[in-house]
Amino acid sequence: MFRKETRVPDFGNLAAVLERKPTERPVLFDFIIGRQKESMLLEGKVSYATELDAVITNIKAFDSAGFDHASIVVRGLEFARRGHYQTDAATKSLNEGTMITDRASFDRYVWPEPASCDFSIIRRAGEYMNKNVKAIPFSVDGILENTIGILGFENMCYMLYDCPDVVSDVFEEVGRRITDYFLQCLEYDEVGAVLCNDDWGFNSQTMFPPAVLRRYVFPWYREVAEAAHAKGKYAILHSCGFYGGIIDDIIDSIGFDGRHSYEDKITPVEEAYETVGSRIAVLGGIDVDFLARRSPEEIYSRCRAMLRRTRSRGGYALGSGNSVPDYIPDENYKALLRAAHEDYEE
Amino acid sequence: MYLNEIAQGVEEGQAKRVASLVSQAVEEKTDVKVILDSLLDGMSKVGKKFKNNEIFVPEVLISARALNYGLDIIRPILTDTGVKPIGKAVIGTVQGDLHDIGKNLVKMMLVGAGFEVIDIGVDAEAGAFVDKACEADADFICMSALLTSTMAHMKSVIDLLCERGLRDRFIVMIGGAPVTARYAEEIGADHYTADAATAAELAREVLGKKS
Repeated sequence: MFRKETRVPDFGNLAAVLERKPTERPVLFDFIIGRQKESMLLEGKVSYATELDAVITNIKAFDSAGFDHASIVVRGLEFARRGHYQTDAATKSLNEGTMITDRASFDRYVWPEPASCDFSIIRRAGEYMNKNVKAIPFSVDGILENTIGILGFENMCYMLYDCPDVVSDVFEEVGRRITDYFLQCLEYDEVGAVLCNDDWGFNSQTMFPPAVLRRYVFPWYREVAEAAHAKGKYAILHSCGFYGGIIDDIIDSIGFDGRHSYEDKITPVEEAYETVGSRIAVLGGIDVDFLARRSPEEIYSRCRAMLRRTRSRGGYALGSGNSVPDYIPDENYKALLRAAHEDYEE
Repeated sequence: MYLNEIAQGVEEGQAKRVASLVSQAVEEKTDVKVILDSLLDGMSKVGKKFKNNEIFVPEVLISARALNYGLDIIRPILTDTGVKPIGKAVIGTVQGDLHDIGKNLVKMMLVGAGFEVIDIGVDAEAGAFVDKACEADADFICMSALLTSTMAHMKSVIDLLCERGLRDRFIVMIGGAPVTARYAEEIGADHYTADAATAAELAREVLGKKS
């Protein structure tokens, strides 16, 4: 167990962050931790033999790290793609998944159905979570990501001009299914929030004009966020890249409670907190490159400074700028966790 | 008389219209260099708008497609009449990295700025960059990486250039999500640019200073 026994996990802490209230102790947020890091957190006691084993390992790793939640993905809604998109490769081209290029290939495409997902794994996972811990489900990529995956990025750009009706129909098919996935997850008491993970930006601008996102992507997430709120739960966005032109949509139009993913090259998390932290919870944000290439001392120092900055105003949970890949040195990740495990006063 | 319309057609991504106008201009014996300049003028405007976030990647792509429709028509004439590109660049995504959107954008912008671009694709080994740059007698080696874990291979290319005594022969430009000016300095690259339009602008500027 990496966390101290005195640090009792409680989703109420993360809920307070999402309501932008101060918390009594620092709160952690991330949703993807590499398997080697899970092994580090669990001293090698990991198992991925079955889907449930993988979920349990994830829950235990999140518990050991000191999170107040555990992320979970329910398998079965994977959209068929080509090439490396079919694997867990660390590097993928947005161009290589192309399955649909026109109306005929659209008609041939076989869509996965949320009905084939075994959502009961959320209930079974709950049996392994601490009493006050809640699950945060996410999907295998989001609405834009899956649409790009099926169409291929550059092909999709051309299709927006050459056959926009097909693009619209692909968004409709993907959006309806991902939304349905989250609505079903929200039915479970074990779930405290849903995490909509969908990368929308490059470094200097959104991947598509905001008008495209507003038309085809955002309405679905608005439906998810409204459903979460109707159940007294929360909706979190994980979305990489430039968000300058769409932050008002994220906060006001869709109604996300928190946003995860910040990059120093785009908007350092300190700046993000000062500019939008009063309107939406800022989650994570310690740049992955910073975590990978700086010293543990530098990482600890930046994390503590971030916690000092946000303590009285609330609305911040410490974590990575994106995820915790295995190429981040163990000692560096431990430095981040150590910063969160110490009380504010220390 | 079609020249402004050609530039406008590129700017608006009207590929078929650009092809038609360029064909018409060729038939009327318009100086091919003038036609080329019209095409590049259109793409230059696209680059500026892209840099200012007035337009987005899809608009750049359809403009680049329109540019290529025009270039395909005049390329044989350019060759026959000895009109040369303003420079040559070898471009690729480094070893271990399959991301290609950024690389492709830089390629489009370089072509739109009048360069000949030799694209060695993704997951390219250090030797491929160096060998192709020598073979093409390139001015630039342009490298892209999207991951912290793969950008280290940029240094491998520079190390190989040094090892072969070729470091001063090529201008090395790098870019990609985790790449910074500081990193470029650390590994001994000549230039870092934050976006594709700036890369093309800088390449023109650097070449101008060199010559």
